Amino acid sequence: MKLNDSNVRNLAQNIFEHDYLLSDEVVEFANLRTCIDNYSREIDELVNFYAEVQEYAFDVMHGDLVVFYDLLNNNYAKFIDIIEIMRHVNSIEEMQNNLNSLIAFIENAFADTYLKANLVKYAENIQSHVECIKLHQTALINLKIYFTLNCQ
Amino acid sequence: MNLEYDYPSILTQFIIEQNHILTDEIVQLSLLYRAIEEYFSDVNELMNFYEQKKEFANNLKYEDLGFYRDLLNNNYDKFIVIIKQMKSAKSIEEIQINLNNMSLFINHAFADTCIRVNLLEYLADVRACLEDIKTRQVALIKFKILGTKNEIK
Repeated sequence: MKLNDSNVRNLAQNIFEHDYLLSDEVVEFANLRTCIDNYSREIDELVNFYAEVQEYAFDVMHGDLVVFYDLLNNNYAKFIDIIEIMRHVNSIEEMQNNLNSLIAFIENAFADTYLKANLVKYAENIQSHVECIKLHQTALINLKIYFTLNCQ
Repeated sequence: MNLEYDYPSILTQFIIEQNHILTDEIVQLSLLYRAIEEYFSDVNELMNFYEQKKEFANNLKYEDLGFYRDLLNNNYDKFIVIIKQMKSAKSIEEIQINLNNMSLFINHAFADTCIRVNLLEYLADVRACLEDIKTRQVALIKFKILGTKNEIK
């Protein structure tokens, strides 16, 4: 059995709507679905946070504060590139690799800034969701169910 | 004759109210008074600019902007000390000395910052007033209304 994200969503939705008895498989699917949702939502929150700070930096951009806006603006394109890749992963390995790229980027581009800690915090939250996905992947494999990821 | 700060003000007001014919002396006194008023006004504008920036800096949201807040807060006390000296100057020489102190302070405390340029612009206005006061002083000394430094002593 090969499930993609859309199948999992439809299945979970069907279970909830019809109040079926939950088998182990369905519980695992539901948990997996939650993890995937959380992963995507956390990425959105990271993007929103970056945009919010960037907008604020633009509002106060004058004189000695231009440096803060430049920091955010100059790194925005690279940041969004990584985010877009993170949103279109096809495997947990890809997910992990992209997350590692994001963390390396943050550490490098925002070294010696307070903002780095905020961004890393979001990345850590994403990491915890990836761990959760890994856990449920293992459970589903044990149940002889295999799936592919499509976070789009 | 030694004119205190308030004296030109009262005299000018009197002249305006009574519609007296303006002599050259009165014109010079009026101009001196205006220059002195302008001096205090420009000192206040410099102080207001700093305080506005400090308030703005204290309300900045993100910690990476804290350097700006610290820059303005850490130098505020010294700035205010010099401002008070500028406001209580008793002679043109004192005005000049305080102005030079402020210039040195700004250049040192705000080296390599953009706000230094703004502060120096305000200070340039104050300096222009000082030059104006000096010009009026010379004219009034010629009219024997203001004594020279030695005569005043």
